Amino acid sequence: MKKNIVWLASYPKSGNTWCRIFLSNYLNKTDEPSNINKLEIGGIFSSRQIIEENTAYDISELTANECDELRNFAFSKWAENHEENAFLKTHDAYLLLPNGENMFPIESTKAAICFVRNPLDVAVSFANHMATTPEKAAEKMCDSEFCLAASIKKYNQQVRQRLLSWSGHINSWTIQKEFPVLVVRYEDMLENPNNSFKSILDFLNIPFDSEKFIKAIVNSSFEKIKNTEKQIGFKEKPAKCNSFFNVGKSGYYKNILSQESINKIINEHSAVMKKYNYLSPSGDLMI
Amino acid sequence: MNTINTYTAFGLIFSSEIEIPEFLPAIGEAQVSITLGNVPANISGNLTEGFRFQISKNEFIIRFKPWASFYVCNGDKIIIEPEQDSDERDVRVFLISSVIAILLHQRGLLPLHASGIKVNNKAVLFSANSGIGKSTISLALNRKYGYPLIADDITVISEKEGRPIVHSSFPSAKLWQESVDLLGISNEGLQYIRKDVFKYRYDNRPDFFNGILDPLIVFVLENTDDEIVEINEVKGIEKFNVLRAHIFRLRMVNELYASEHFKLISNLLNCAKCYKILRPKNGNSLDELCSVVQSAILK
Repeated sequence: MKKNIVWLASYPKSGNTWCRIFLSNYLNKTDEPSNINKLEIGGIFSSRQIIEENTAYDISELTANECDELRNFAFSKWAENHEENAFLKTHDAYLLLPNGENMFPIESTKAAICFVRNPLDVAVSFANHMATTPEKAAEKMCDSEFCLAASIKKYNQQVRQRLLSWSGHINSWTIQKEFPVLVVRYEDMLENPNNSFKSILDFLNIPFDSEKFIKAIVNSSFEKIKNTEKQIGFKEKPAKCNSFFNVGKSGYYKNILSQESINKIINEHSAVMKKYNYLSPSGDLMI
Repeated sequence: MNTINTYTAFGLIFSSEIEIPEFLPAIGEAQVSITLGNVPANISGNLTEGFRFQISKNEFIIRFKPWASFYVCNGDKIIIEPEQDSDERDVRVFLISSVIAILLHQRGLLPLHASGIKVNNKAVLFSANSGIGKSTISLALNRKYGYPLIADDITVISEKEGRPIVHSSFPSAKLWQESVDLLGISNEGLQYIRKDVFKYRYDNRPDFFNGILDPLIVFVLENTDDEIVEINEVKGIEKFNVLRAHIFRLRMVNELYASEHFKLISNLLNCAKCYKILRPKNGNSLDELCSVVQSAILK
C-alpha cells in the first residue's frame, strides 16, 4: 500500500484553496498558469464521485454515516492510482467513525498541512461563502455539531462533512499522533507567501525549483485568482455565494463583525486563538 | 413456512418470500426466487473483492452492514439474510437496485442506469449518473405530454432475433424533496426509500406501461456550468462509449460480462438514436429540458 496521501485540512476560508492553486501551478508540467477550474492537484475527501468510482456503490441510497464508512476504502484505493503526494482537500474534522474505526485512511497517509486563520476573519469570509450574516457564521463556528453538505432535501455532489467547532476542528488535526502535521497560518501566507509555501515544499520533501516557484507564487496571487474568477467563474463556488475569492485580507472583520460575535468567538475559542497568536496570553486581540 | 409472493419486473417473474410492493403483482412460473436464508461466508472460484462484496461471473455476495447480506447466483436465485431488527425498507432498497442489477447481469441482460417513458409504442430512455435528474425528467414528460413511465433508475435491454428490446421495470421512482417540489407533487403520504435516507418513493401507477418496447432514443444527461440546455446527437464510437459508461453497477461487474454488454449495446445503438444533453447544474431548467427533449422526439 502506498503511503502518499497529503491532507490539505482546514476550517473553510482559511487558505486551503489558495494553497491548492499554488501547488497546482508549482507541480504542473507546463509554464502556463493552472486553470482554477481544472486544478491538477489531487481530489477532495468529500467528493461523491471519487467515493462512488472507487467503491461501486450508489451513495444516494446510503445514510451520511454509511457514506463515511466508505471513505477510508474509497480514498485508499484512489491513492493507489496516484503518485507521491496525493493531495486531498478536506474540511472534515479528524474524526473516527462511531464504531471507533478510522474514517481517514491513515495507512495511506504521508502527512497533513493544517491551515489556520484568525476566526474573526473566517466568520466574515464564511458568511460570504454561505450567503449568510457574519453573526450566523460566528454561531456555526461555535457549534460542535456543525456539518457541511448536510441537506436532506436534494442531491449533493459532496457527502456530509462534520467540522466540529472552529477550535475543535484545529485541535482534531493538530493533536492526533497518526501522521506528521504542518500548521500554516493564513496571515503568514499573506505576509510572506514565499516563506509559507517554501515551508510546505520542504515539509513534504518536494524538490525546490526557484523559477517554477516564482511563477507559481505570481500565478496564485490573490488578485490574480480573484480576477480569473471574475472572468471565467470558479466551479467550487457555492451557488448562492457571489464570489469565492472575496477580500482575503487580515483584520477585515473589524469593519464588519459585531462586538457581540467577536466576544462570542473569543470566549469560545480563546485557547486555540492564544496558541496561534490571535490573542495575547493576557487575552488581547493581536490582529 | 413463509408466504410466497409473485411479482413481475424487468421482464422477469419473481417468487419472493418478502413483500416487494414496488413491483407489480403477477401470476405464472417464476424465473427468479427470492428467499430468506443463510448467505454463504464466501463465494468460490475466481472472484473479485470490493468493499463488503465479492463477485464472480455467476455468484455475488454483498453485506450492507448492519441491515442485511445478499447472495445472488446463476441469475435465478437471491438469498437474503436480514440482520436482527433491520427495517424492511432498508433491505428492499438494496434488493431492488444493486442486488437485482447483478442478477440481471448474470442473466446476460444489459441493465442501464436509465429511466424511461413510452412514446408512440417505443421506448425513450434517459441515462445519467445519480443526481442529474433522470427520474424528474421522465415524470415531468409524463405529466406534460402523457407519456407513461416504463422505468426508473434501471432499464433492462435484451435482444430477440438480433433486435434490441426494452423491458419495463416497475412503477415507482425515487425523488428528492427538490424534485417533488419541481414536479408539483404533494409529499403527503409519501414514504422515504429508507428509514434514514430522506428520498421519497413515488408510485406512478396507473400511469405506467408494463411490457416490452422497441427503443427509439437514448438521451444521456450531464450537468454543465453553462446556463442553457444544450443538445447534440452522439454518433460513431462515442455513442458506444457513452452508453457503456451508464451500465448499472458497471464498477461492480467490471469486465465480467463485457461480451454480453458489447453485443447488446451494439444492437441497441443500431436501432436507437443517441443524444447528449447538457443541463445547467444550477437553477431550474426543467421546462426548457422538457421542450428540448420533446423537439428531439418529434424530429
